[in-house]
Amino acid sequence: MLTLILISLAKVVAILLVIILPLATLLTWVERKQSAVMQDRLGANRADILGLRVWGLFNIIADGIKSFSKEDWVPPFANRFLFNIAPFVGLFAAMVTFAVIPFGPPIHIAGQEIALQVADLNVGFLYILAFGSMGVYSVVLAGWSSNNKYAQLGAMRGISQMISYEVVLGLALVGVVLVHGSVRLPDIVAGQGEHWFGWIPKWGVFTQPLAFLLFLPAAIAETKRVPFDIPEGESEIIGYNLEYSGAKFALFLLGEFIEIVVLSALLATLFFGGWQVPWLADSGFVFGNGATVEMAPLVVTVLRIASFLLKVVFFCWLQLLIRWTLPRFRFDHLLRLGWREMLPLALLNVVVTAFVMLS
Amino acid sequence: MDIKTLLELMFGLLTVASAIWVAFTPKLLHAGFSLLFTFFGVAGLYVMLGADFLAAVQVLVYIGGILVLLLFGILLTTAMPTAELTVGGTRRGQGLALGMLLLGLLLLAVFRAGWPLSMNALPETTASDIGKGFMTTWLLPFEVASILLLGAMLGALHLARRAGEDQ
Repeated sequence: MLTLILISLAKVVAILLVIILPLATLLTWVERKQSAVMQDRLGANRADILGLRVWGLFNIIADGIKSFSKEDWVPPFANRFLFNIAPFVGLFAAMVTFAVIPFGPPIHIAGQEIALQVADLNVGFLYILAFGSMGVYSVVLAGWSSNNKYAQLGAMRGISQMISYEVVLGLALVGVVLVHGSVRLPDIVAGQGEHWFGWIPKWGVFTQPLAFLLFLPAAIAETKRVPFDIPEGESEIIGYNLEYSGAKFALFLLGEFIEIVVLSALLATLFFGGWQVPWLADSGFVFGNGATVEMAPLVVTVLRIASFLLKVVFFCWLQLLIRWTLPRFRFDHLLRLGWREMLPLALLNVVVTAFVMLS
Repeated sequence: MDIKTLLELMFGLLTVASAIWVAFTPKLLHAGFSLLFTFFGVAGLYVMLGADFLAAVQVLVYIGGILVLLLFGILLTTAMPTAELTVGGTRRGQGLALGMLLLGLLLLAVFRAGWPLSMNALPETTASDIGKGFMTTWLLPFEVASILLLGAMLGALHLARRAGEDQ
């Protein structure tokens, strides 16, 4: 019992310290630098320590110090308790989703098989949706407890957007579940290790292309970033987190970056084979023409974990690219897109997938 | 006391305490937020009983869906978020009588039930069994429930449509 708890704890710490927090912090810098490159600017490059600038990486530290030394202001008419817990609710909902994501194949240490996943739930897919839907509470609590009309209006926009796109999100995932016949994420990842004709990997993006095309925008809508950033609208229209300052505002921002990382991990797991490397079997590479490359089990494991991390980094990059490329949706367009265009397509995808699986 | 019993007690306490708060707070919005913890506690109890599918659905449907809409409704109605519900005179008596009746029914059900203990091991996955059950043994109740939901949806659409609007 105790060893089990210790192993789980070690996995949680590893995920937090190796994947989520470093990536999320780095992303604050990458977002500024990538947008600068895209807009032909030099970008964040002013913070220096003893003349050292390292491409503006010290800006991360400067940002941290800035936000934590600012006044932590609570509006006098706000509900203090709810106002204070709102940013943590969002952070919590984003972080716990990672618990069911397998970030590597099971490894063997001292005769014990250890799954590289914090919680191997039989209902992993529902768990993701359940905690994804809890993110709404951060918005509701922040908007309402601020006791500010603009914050409340922002929260209203946030709720309508998030519950609309949640439906599409869930239905898109149903297609993936149907293909693999399991709601367990390790099963879904294992299923994506097979190939067609020995060459084309059975990744979710190939078995469920429409689901991927629906899942990506719906999930970006859940992270409330451009082109779906009407609940926040940090630059012009103000949003639900308007009354927040200092460290708590920074928590909202950090929560957003953690959502990006988690979403990338989800995309990698559900649609891009998770930790699978194409043509890499347990014994080494096996290609479609029969050629094989033998490899030690340790090398295979390392390659697979690296492949997962690489996919996560790629999707983080892709999301930032989308954020700095597209303009914002108008709100009625956004809701119409969700309910009238994406929802019917998602339903169609489920029905067609079910028929294909039956035949 | 082992850790499992402790967790069960914790979830039970959370459920009951927050449910009491829902019933007794005069502030509507506080009741709504308190209901969140009640649902969460119930989901926790499901997990402790090995019903993982039911727990996930509980969080997804009740916390992620119904309660959000409930709060959305409260927040959208201008006077509601700050409204205080006061219960006076005769209503109090009626409420007490109804509450006692419900309590009696529940107690009757609790003491009448045999509470048989199954010696079988917990099933590996509950999701597939539930799915098969819905499609075979319990098909009729399942369909009746879906027709009920369809009716509710059509009703909601009808109510949401403004008078004289064609589309």
